[in-house]
Amino acid sequence: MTQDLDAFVHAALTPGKIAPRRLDALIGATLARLDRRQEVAMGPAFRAACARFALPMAAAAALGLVVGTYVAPNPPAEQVGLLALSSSTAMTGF
Amino acid sequence: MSQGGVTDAADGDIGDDDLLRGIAGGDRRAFQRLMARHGKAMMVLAERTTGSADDADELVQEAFLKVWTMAPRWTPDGAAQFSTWLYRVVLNASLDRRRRRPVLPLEAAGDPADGRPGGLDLAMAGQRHRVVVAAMAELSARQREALSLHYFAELSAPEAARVLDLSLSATEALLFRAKRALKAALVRRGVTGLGDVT
Repeated sequence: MTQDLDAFVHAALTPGKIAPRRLDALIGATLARLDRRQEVAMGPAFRAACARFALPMAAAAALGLVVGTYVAPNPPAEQVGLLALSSSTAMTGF
Repeated sequence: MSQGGVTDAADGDIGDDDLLRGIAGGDRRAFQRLMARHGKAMMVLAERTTGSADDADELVQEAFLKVWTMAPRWTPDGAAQFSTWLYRVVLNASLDRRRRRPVLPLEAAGDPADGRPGGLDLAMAGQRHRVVVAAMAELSARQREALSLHYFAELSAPEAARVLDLSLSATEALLFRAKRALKAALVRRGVTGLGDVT
């Protein structure tokens, strides 16, 4: 008997239907694995947040460094000696 | 339709690219919807390619975990459809899994179980499946991919062409050569009476 190659192969295949319950179970299991995998769980949201905020934060930090160094440097902090402190305390009576 | 399962979610008109944008932002609901939309087709492809429901579930799960991690990098430029990419991932993983497992001789399948309705038909289908997979193992990788998409995923030639990244004419020619080679491999395994490949 002659039969078509396609017919022969198709007769060998499992049905092309998947029970909805099996798909539901697979989706549930996949979500559970997402929860377990810490790197994956925080992956997209974390990376998206990094991509969104990392550049502005780095730019702000660099700007602060430039301003702090060259534009508005703080005067050297006044050295308060122990003697001056004790004498001022004596003068005010405390 | 399942009762209260995640696949009950209304699919709506939201495109894959929109769902992927949601997934990139950590939206689990979007992930569920994408999986509900494409999961069944991927499970069928993987199960038919590997011959194992357990392997299929594992491979599809891995593929969707990959979707979760690659979603932030997905660029919907119209040139690549998500489903095309997903078919490629699942097909390659399934063929790879199949390659690693030795093809068992037919005798290893044992006798069909008695007393079950349709048990003999199932056993015969299983035996045929093993013969087909063993014959496909003799073909080139490209021919195996084309036949898997054609027979196992039941994709049309234009759809298979997109997954294989070939022109339609090249895909049709590849399929023709693959079917001819498959027939020859089946004949070598004792399958007779197969008509001409069209």
